[in-house]
Amino acid sequence: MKEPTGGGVKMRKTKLLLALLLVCAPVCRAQQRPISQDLGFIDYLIGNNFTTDALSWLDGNAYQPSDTLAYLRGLTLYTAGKLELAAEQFSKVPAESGYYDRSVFYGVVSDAYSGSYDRGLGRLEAYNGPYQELKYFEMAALSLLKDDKAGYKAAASAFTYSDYTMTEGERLFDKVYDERYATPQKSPWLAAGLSAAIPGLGKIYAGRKDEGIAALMTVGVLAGFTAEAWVKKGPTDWRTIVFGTLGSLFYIGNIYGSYMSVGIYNDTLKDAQNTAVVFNLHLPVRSIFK
Amino acid sequence: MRRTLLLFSIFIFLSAAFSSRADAQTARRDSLLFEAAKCERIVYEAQNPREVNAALRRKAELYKQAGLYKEAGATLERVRMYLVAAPERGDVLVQKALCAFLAEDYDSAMSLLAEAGVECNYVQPKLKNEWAAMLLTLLVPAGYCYVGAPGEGLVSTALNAASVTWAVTQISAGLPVIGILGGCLCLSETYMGAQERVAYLLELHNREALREAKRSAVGKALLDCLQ
Repeated sequence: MKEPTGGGVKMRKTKLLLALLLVCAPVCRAQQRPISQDLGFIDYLIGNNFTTDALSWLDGNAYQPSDTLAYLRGLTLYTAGKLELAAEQFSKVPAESGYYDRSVFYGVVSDAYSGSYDRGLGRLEAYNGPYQELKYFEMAALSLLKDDKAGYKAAASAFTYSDYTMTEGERLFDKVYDERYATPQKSPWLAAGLSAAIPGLGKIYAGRKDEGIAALMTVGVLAGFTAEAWVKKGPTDWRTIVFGTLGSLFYIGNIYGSYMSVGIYNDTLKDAQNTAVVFNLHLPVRSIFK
Repeated sequence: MRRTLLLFSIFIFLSAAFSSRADAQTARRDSLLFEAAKCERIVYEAQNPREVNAALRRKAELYKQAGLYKEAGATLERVRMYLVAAPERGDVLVQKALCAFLAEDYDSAMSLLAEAGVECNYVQPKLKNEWAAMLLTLLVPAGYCYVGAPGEGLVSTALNAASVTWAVTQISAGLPVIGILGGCLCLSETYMGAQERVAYLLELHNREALREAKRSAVGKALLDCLQ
């Protein structure tokens, strides 16, 4: 009998492995079951906020991959606050699925919370389902979050202010738009100029009254010390130099600080507006797809 | 070369050992949580409320083993107590108290033990007196020593002494504005700052002492109950 060569042994092993895989595949597949059997239970878990159980149940059971499974995983992760992962699961739901509409909008909310505004806009642009006003509502919100003035105007033109789930949000978005783009913003340069004229005035303009008064007092006291040392000991005395330098530093620092304070004020205002926008973004989704 | 190889092998061995241990822990936790979800399934499908109670108690136990003490306590809260036999009620309450204790919520644990009829009186610890601290801080280092922070007291004393020295030297150099106003400003930071710091340290000390007393009392009571 002829001994098999090295190549022959390798070939035989590969064939054996392939045969094993073919035998095992249907067995493994047979162990998977459809999610529809447990739909009611998973709804119960999500509805009662038992997200730990829902996640363990979905991970621990071998379900056949399906759009329902992807949607339920997404919704569980969304409820558990794991928004990045939720957005990924919602993306897996195909357009033909009965869960497509809700997956798109829950996906957009997850994107908005996790800061992936472009991905959210991409989902909405591809959406052609029946919830058109909700689509433009979310597009408007994402445009505000992205600071896209033209995008907001285009999306907000579809607002009807008649759907009770969205009316309040639509009005709020318009208000945020007006505050952000129609009302003049506080100017950092004006704040710097005010602080140059009277130390601390720029801080008061930026809405920091206490800091403004403290700055005025500090610069005033240091100026007083410098003046006393100058008058009594002369301009070359170390106290005149030290207090004069400190006073100048505080004076210049206060001008810079006032400039920065207005920037911080504007950022804080924008953050508060964005928080309100994101919060109002998810309310109609919750109401419509309850 | 041989030494490098040896070190490399040890590193690989230790990494493998630790990573497999972590994997095993995660797998165990996942399995416990899956078992807990199965218990919830029983609750969902159960026709009989007693069955629900049994499943909830089992689920709480599994959560406890997985280290989710708050969740374990919340699960026990769902047990329908009116269906629990009188002798067992105490046991459920003690389990709830144990979960609260493990979640470091000693006040809840104490009230649950009281509800279960278990005596749990903590010995009021010797708390530091607020007024004494305030009066002692008039002499800065004394206040710090009273609240058990002599090192900080030393630093604070040095800063106060520097402020006073500054004021005196400037006044004597014929600069009253710099001396008085500057000295006052410095002292307002160092002296008044010391008062605030001592008050904060005192509050921290008293809170910790009280917490420790409760922890120890609840721990002892639970140990007696569970033995």
